[in-house]
Amino acid sequence: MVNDENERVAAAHAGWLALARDGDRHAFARLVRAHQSRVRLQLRRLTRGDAALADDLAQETFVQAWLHLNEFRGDARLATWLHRIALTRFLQHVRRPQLPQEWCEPDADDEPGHDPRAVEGLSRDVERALQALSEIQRLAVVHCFHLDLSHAEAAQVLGLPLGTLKSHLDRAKTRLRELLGAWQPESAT
Amino acid sequence: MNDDDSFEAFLRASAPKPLADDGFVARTMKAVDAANATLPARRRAAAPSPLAIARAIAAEQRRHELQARSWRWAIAGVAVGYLMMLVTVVTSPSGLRLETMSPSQFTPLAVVTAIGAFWVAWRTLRNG
Repeated sequence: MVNDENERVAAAHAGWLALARDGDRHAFARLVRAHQSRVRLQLRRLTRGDAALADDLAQETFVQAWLHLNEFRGDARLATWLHRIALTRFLQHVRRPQLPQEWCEPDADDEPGHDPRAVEGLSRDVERALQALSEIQRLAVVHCFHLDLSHAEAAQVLGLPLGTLKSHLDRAKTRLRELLGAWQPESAT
Repeated sequence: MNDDDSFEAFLRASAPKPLADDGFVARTMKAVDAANATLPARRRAAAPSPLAIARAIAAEQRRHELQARSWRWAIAGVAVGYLMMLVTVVTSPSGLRLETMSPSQFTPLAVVTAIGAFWVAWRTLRNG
């Protein structure tokens, strides 16, 4: 049933994409509506919570996508392509050719000094735990688990070799397990 | 489901809630329209000037006249040649005599004709 729904959505998106490629702006608007949340969430993560800047960059991302829609070959999912454009726009904004090297270092100042159980809500606890990771580990987690990309897709978006991404992800999960020990997996369901 | 899968499901469950549109799509489509408006218009062939049109017509007229003159000379040549043949036959002391020729006697004429045909074809193709 879920697969049928996914296939139906994928077929609708493919139809909108074909129409948008022919210049149908209404079809493109539907694609924007379908992808806006994840692209904006990705950019909010990259801009460290600056919602206004993230929305500006998301807007530019979709404008770029519209202007270069005919260059989308369809090798990857449209979402992956959009996330890649979003990351590129962000890097252009911070004037970096690639993810900054210092992002691979843990943020020692952001070590959470609280008991996760003391804070309300799973998301907020995970959010706090994420702050203890290096930026690249945080991005790996966000792209794989929050933006629902496969490892290969996340590696493509972040411009990392697949093995490097998996390595960051493994280290991130180990660290998160330590920090979120209070949360049992069962408690999330 | 092993422990790793459970932990990954746990992380997925912690994903932030989807963001509401809040006018984002409308603002984005406005930006898309603005970007479209700033795109350079597709290059169109410039309309030829009246002087260029007059020159092209005059050139075409000259080509046509040259071709017509060539045809007139060709037809006149054939007619004169035919007349000369008739005069030669009529004034011949032995009068008119018909002989059949063997096919091999046509070979030089066929070769010359073929060379001429190839030469005309080559010139025609070269000149477009």
